[in-house]
Amino acid sequence: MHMGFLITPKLDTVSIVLRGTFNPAIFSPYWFEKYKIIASKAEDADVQLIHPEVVSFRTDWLSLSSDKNSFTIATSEAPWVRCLDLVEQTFGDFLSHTPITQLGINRNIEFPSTMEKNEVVGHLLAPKKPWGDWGSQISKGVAGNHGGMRNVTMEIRDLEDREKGHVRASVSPSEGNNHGVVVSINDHYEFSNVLSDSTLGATQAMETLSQNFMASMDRSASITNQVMKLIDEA
Amino acid sequence: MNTKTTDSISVDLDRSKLVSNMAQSLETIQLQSNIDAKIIHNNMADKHSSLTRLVRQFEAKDLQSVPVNGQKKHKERSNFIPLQEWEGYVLDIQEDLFTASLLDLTNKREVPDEEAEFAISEIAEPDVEFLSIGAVFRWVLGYRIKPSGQSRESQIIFRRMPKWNLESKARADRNAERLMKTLSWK
Repeated sequence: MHMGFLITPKLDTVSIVLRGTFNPAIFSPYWFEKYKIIASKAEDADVQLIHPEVVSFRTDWLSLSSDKNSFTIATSEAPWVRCLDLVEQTFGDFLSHTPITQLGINRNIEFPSTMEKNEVVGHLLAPKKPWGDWGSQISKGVAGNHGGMRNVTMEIRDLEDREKGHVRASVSPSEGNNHGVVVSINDHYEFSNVLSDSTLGATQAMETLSQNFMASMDRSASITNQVMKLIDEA
Repeated sequence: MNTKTTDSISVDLDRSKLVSNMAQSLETIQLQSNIDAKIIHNNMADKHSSLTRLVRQFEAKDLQSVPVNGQKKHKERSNFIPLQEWEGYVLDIQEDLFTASLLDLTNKREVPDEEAEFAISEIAEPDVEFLSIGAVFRWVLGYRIKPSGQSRESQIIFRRMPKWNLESKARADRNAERLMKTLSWK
């Protein structure tokens, strides 16, 4: 489950990204309200843009945006299962013929740290020695001001639970001066036969999402906890 | 095959480019705050100004906090971080209360082994209509983090699960078949 972090996060954002062929004009807050997919009143939504090519709005708990090639919903409000329910209803019950070629289950978790701990963990994840003289230059000077690891990304492929795809995890320091750490996970699936078989529509993507969403939440929590452990022990 | 990735940052950047291109072509854009949204088309200068503003918002990735129409008040951004979560199943409904069976998701219980009574007033208004015997909900205890501070909060959210149809049944059959293959009898 997603709780049980070693360090309480400051921000936890879950998003589901679909790639394929979409009709963004459909995705207005009124459409979601009409079919009772979201509880919020459509008139309360903050609509940024509704256009045949791109749509973007925010309700009390979600941000939704879409263009002709992608559909994204994101939330920083638990329970995360609401994202799953919304996407499954939208593309399972109502728009099941939408050809979806890729699915991403993403999570970004930011948690507090200190400048000193970030320094130690940055060096663990990206040692400066292999960078030679430049690495030595980075190490000189006052901690926190001399630079260091900005981003490390690790990826696993050849996973048993998908025909094609990967899980990618990135670690980076928080932006600004609050010395936090951000762990971003992209759990990516590809459905290569959707383009050649138009009858498949959203079926494979929804089946994959349904079967893997909670496991993906668990995996992202587990990866983040490993980074939290490094920070905790630094 | 589309070779782009599905991480949300890449998708945001693609969308930003799209809006930027639209602004350059001065294409008509529908900006709406409610259902009778107006199409801005009678003044090219105004339109260009609106588009430029939208592009800037996209580029600043601050769309969520800047309503286009300028009518709505800026909502304070907040996050709700879960500490404990249960899946509930409504067993009984009385005048002001409902009783539910609870599955503790935080401690990875496999079967519901708790029962609790909740005040109906605890349910957020839009979710009350989903209260019925057998309805499934999530009960989350957590921290609400706002720029103005942090507080403990409890939320009851009724699930809007997809309907069962022939495809769902076929999917469930496939899952059951897959599960059967993993079982071994000793």
